[in-house]
Amino acid sequence: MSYTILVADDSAIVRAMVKKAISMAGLPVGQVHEAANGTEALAVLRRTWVDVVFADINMPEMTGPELLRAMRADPALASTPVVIVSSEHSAARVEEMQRSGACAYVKKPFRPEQFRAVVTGLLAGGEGKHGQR
Amino acid sequence: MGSDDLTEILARTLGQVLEEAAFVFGEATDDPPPLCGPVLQARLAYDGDHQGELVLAAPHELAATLAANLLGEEEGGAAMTGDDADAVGELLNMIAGSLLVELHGPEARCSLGLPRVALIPADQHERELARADVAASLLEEEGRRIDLSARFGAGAAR
Repeated sequence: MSYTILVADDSAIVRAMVKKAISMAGLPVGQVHEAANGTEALAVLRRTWVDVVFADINMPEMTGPELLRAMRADPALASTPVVIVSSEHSAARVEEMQRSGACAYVKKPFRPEQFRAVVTGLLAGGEGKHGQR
Repeated sequence: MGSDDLTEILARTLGQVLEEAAFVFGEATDDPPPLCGPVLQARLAYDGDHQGELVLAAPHELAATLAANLLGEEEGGAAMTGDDADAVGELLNMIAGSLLVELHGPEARCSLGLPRVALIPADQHERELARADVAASLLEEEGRRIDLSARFGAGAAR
């Protein structure tokens, strides 16, 4: 049993860092998709099953909050968990993202343990949802 | 907040993020050595309750170390793929998130722009640094210099 993950960040180095942190966290992750902005992320989500999305806030073309709104408005994607991975971590920003439907928040710079805690918490009991879109 | 306090906050935040994210350990200096060769300079504007622009600059060869360390790779691999500029931009992004909370508190609403990175001559960077409202420099273990500077207020971004 392995999970499919989508990492959306305009920085290639951050996408690589997130993938490495997830790998080091010892999570049962299979496929990892990448997107450089919200538009690309939506395209991936509409053609492939994804168990959890890790998204940055500031991305060109379509930001993380815009991606969240688009997902919440789409019945097929509304229940897919989104974790915000961002340098912005003021209380105001975290609260805003949670109100928009983010399930969790990982502050950059991050450590693998943070991903383990977040993914384990989110996916506990959610194995029945796993499948292919 | 006085200029010395601001400089101390910039130096501390720069040191913390470099250490935590890139395993680079540095010491603040009031007398930074001259830069030689081209500099990778990242700029990032922010707005909201407070406005301004932050600038992070590192010698080009140090940027390759930063990129490799961020990825946990041997030096050389990351630089060959052009990730060194991306690394400086992303480090500034991380610094900005922490710095704005330090400067303005956790309740302040500030939005970060996207980092813009350019390779520029050292003398151009020195001239721009002289015009900053506040600046801090760190020397990493091999004596290479990393600068963080800020300009505050609307219209600070170039």
